[in-house]
Amino acid sequence: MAGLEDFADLHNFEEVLQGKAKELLELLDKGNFAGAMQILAELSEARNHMLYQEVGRLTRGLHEAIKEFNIDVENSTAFQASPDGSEISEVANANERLNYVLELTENAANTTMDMVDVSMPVAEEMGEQARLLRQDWKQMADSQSSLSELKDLGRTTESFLQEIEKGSDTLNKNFTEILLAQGFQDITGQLIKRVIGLVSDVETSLVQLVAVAGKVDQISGLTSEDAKDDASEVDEKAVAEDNLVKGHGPQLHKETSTDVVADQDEVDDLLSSLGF
Amino acid sequence: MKILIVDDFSTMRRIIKNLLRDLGFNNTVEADDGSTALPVLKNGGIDFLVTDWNMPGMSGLELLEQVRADPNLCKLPILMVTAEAKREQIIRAAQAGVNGYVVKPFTAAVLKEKIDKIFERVG
Repeated sequence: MAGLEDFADLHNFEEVLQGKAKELLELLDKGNFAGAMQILAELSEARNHMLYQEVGRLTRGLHEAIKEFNIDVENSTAFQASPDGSEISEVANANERLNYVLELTENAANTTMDMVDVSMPVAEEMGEQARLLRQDWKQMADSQSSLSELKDLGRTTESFLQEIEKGSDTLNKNFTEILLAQGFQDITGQLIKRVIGLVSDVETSLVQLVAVAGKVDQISGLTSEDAKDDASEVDEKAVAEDNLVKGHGPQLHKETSTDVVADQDEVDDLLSSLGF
Repeated sequence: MKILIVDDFSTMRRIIKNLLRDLGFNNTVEADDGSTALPVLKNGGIDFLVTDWNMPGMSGLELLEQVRADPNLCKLPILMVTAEAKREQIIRAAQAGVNGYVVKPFTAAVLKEKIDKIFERVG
């Protein structure tokens, strides 16, 4: 991005333009038309040069930002799957990366839920066996038990404890797997940060493009039109309605926004105020 | 009691399905947006609709409006479970005839409470 914000050349160009204009007037006053044409040609060339330079700068800036994005993510082990390793269309790949984020989060959620599905019956079974054993113990305490009954109870208790050990191992293993499944957050977080970085770089570049375009208009003598503003205002309403129907997506800064509900309680309050 | 769960994220469908199963509702079917949900609803046999709002194709609000406009389906109880949290949206959904509105992220208790309330009213 270096040098993109440097408009010093443009300032120089404006000074040159002013200087040359005076020179041009002097030459015209003297009737030196050949000299005047020469000045005009020089100005035209300087203008073209300026245009090329500004557009070139912008292109280079965009390219750098995009290239940086590509290389950094390429270095992470999570994304070695890129085909043939040659230079790929980076912006198009931002989509691919986001899809990858989607895939990772989906896998992690499924793994977690699979483990919960497997673990719940284990915990339930342990609880059920404990309940049965407790009844046996209660019975023994309440009545006169024979030695063989006591021995039976001992064996049942031993096998119960064995089950507990086994169940605890299973649960431990499953919990670890759930823990590991959360690792997606690391990778997806990084990928998303890269994409955010790319987007804001592109945004900055676009803002600068607008600035450069303004200067370019100045150089080429065009005036920008305000007429299109009216049309965009009309569209805004349609877009707002479309957003409302289609949905805005998850809201950030729920606590500080007044047009957004912070939690379920506020939803309930709003609905009950509407007679629900 | 047959319940249709509509959400474009399969993980969210699974979460809702599991929560419903815990609440004793074992008969669920799924759709990933309004346009796939509507034919399922029109085929009949669905007693309750749980839908997300923001989905590709037909959104949950559009689905809600279509259901209310259909004479065969207009009485179907509908619960919206969505991350859409703008006040104007909740008002819009209420006006369109939603029976309950749950914002994500939600808890199993909230989901149960809203479902109980809907059935209490619908009878």
